[in-house]
Amino acid sequence: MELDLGMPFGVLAGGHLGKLVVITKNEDLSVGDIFLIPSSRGEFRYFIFRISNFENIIRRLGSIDTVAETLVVEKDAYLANLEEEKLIAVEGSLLGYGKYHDKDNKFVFKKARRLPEHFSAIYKVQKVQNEDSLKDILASQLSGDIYVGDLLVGEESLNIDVMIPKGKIPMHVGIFGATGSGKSNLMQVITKSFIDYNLQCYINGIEDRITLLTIDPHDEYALGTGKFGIQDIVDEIDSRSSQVRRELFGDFYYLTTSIDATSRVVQRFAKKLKISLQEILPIDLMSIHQFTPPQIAYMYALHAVYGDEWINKVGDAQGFMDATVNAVERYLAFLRRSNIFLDGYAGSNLLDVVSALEMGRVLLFNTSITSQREQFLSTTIIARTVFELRKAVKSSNTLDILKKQIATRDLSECIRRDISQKNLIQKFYLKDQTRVKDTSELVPILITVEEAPSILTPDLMRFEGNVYKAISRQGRKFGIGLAVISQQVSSINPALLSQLNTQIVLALGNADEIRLAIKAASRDISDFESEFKVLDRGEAVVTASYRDLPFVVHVPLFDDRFKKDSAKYTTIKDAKEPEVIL
Amino acid sequence: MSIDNFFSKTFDEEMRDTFKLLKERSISQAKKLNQDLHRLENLLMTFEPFPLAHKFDEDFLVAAVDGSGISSLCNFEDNFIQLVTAATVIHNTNTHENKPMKFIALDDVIPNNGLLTKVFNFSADRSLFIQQLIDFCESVYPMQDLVDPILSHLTEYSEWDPEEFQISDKNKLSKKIASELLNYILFPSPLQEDNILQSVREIAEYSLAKQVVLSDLPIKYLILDGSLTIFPPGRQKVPIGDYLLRDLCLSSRKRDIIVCGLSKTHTLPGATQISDIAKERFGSNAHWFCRIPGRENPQGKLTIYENREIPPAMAVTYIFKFSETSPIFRIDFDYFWWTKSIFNEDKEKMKDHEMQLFRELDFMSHEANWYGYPCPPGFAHKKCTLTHIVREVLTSRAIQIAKELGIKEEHLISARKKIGL
Repeated sequence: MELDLGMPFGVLAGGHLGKLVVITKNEDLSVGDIFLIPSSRGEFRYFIFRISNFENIIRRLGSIDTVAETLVVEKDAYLANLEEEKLIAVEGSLLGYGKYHDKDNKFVFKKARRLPEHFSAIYKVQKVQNEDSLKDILASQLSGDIYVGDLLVGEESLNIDVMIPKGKIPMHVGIFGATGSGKSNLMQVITKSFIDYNLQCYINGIEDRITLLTIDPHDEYALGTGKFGIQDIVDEIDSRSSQVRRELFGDFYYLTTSIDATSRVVQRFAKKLKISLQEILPIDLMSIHQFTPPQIAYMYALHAVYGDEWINKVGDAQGFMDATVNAVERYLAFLRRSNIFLDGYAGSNLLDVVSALEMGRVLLFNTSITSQREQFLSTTIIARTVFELRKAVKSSNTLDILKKQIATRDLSECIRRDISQKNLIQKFYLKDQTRVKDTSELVPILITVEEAPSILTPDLMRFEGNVYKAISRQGRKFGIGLAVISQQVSSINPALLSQLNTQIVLALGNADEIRLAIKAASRDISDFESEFKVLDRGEAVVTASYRDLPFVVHVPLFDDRFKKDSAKYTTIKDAKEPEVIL
Repeated sequence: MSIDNFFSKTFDEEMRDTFKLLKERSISQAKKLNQDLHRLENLLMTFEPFPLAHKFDEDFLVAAVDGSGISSLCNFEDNFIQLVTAATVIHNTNTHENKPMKFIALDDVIPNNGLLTKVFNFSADRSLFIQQLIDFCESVYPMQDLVDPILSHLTEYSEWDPEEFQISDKNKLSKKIASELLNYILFPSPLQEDNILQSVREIAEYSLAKQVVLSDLPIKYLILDGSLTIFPPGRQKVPIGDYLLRDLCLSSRKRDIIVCGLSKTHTLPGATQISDIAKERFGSNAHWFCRIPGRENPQGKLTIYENREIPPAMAVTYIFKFSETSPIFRIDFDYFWWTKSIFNEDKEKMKDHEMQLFRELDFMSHEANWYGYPCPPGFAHKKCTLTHIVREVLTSRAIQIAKELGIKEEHLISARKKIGL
């Protein structure tokens, strides 16, 4: 299949698989620009070449130093035909090539084990002109369900979406970027993408939703930092069809610790998060704070004796030393002051949150007015609860076995009881009356871990029962993924880094962080070091273990994305509203 | 053999003896040149070069030609295959656009944008070789046959030395040449690859030059590579190249094109001494030129060249130096053009003509890559030169084609290459 690539931009000069040199016209170029090189040696292929460096050259120029000296000394000297002689020698790497398969009617991408032939013509990928050709060739590398950004080539973002497949959500995501690099906007855009995906599934009648629990540490996402926010999407959908809104968001999408502090427009769909003390397990606390072995033993001892009421019984020494008891008591004092945690199960809505996660919804948790401990603990409890329920599902194939499994999991008594009483097992985990779903049939869930260095510390991650450690290692099996968000790569445990199969790295603070990001990437991105140094706000390098290529993306502003996609929301129709035939 | 073996006492001694001889010769030549110093006073001239912003009243076109090749592309038994390349470039002085020496696109004028690439195959069988060389010449040089250039040469000879040679009947002479063609041409030995390539290269260069001359372009200068030296007229047999050169000069004169031969190596004894005199008189930064007098001068040749063909027949020779750092170059002009356009009984007018000529040549020599050397030949040289890698690729491709046709590779590679000697 021959693609229309426009006019040639230059010629392949030389090089090898590791590095190519091409000679191009004297036109504006940028590091990161991409060229297509059609080659018919052997079979017809389109090679993809990416600029990593370039220099100005003058054709037929002998020694540039001598020429420069002459121009200085001899005042009447000139360079003949200078404009035509100005060229650019470009260095870069072959990313791979695309080969068209007539049978499947599409391009297959292959990594670069071959070279284009001598003096092949090269074509610069340019917006509108030939970006569709690149899109076709890289379809297998770019396709997916969750939008991350537009492919950035040089300084130009193309109309090519870079996506993450929903099946890779449980393989964990790392999002790194220094302050001001655009993390918040990225999270908003990703949040929107989850909503859009679920909306599309609903419209197409597909039961294939995805869940995002995103932490909003600065309360930016709902109303947005610009003109629009997630609330605008909710309102837009709700104004067209309350049924669709209910399907996608239920009665709430916004979690907070204070409804009064919530903006009026958001209040309609806000819920004050309430978790009872009885729903907290020792393992939750150990996942967010480093306790000493005696303290750990003490908490477990209390739980063994008092079950769900163990927190209320802190102070009962149970044979432990006063120092141990006092330390635990001091640490847990924040629970009494918290707006989130209440004594008594009656007011808890943890199960509502868990249900929302299992139903394929997007939840925003505003933690701007919570303490870090409250944020970490509540997120941990939610994550642990869902994780344990899914572990039970994984271990069962019938309802009876599932109930038994639930009884043995790290779940509070009240959760075990209520999940059964409210028929949530049947609703979420059964295929029919008795058969249990496979975990691959459950909704993929992505849970963000904000300020990850504070909670995913090496010491905490060393603890065997750590909830995040368990999820990072096993989450894939249960359809639960973590989105680890951090300003620095260096502060994340290397073992955890290796588990983050998708990494989105925005501008980093310094050269050391860049080197670490390159080292931690699941693909060889050593050629991108210069790219990292010039990443602008809202630009990121995306690597994934399931992709052959890294990509540089430009994350558009949420407002722009919202406006661009507004037709998605304004054309929603309520399925039950009858058509009015005039 | 170790390099130490070369740096023996014998080598040192022989080099010393050689340079002593050269030095003695140089001294004796300097003595001869000293006899003509007073003449050089009038012949040696300096001028103020045109500044960078200079604008000619009318911009003009300058063409240059150069050639290259591979003397031994392949051998097959007693057959030899050479590759010859020649290139022409044409520049517009373009001073009115402030972009001096702009290239003119040649696609509409000369095929393949002024680049000629030809394979020349010849045999060690002399009679076959002769015919092959003639066929090659007739296939590339714009002419009906070789009779025309031979006739042009003899016509000019009759003007050059009317006492020695006169053409009474051109038609008759033309027929004679046609019937006795081989009696007019001096052929190299078919076993001397380098000499043959030199001949073939010349033919290729002159072919392009003739195409330039015959084109509609208003060329002012046509610069050839090398001097305009030919075999002394009057000899029965001369190389084909000499005939083509004079044919070119004759055609150029008809179109008011200035033909000149530019040599990077002047081979003129005494040139260094002349340069020293110029430096002393005009300063080290001066742009100067000096005519080497010949028959146009009442006093004839310089004493130092009395036994040499300097200037060559039917040419006028100058040496020049356009910058402190550039070497002394030699340039020959067609004698007949020179006597018509430069020579004047009024010495001041003649001086003005020469000044104008050399100021224009000097302007072409301000290109920063080759400051002091006219740039059109430089660009022509770059255009036709085959780099080592290209030579290797072409040789390899030639062998591949032969193999496709069933010729074994081992039969094509020269013995020298095979055994590494």
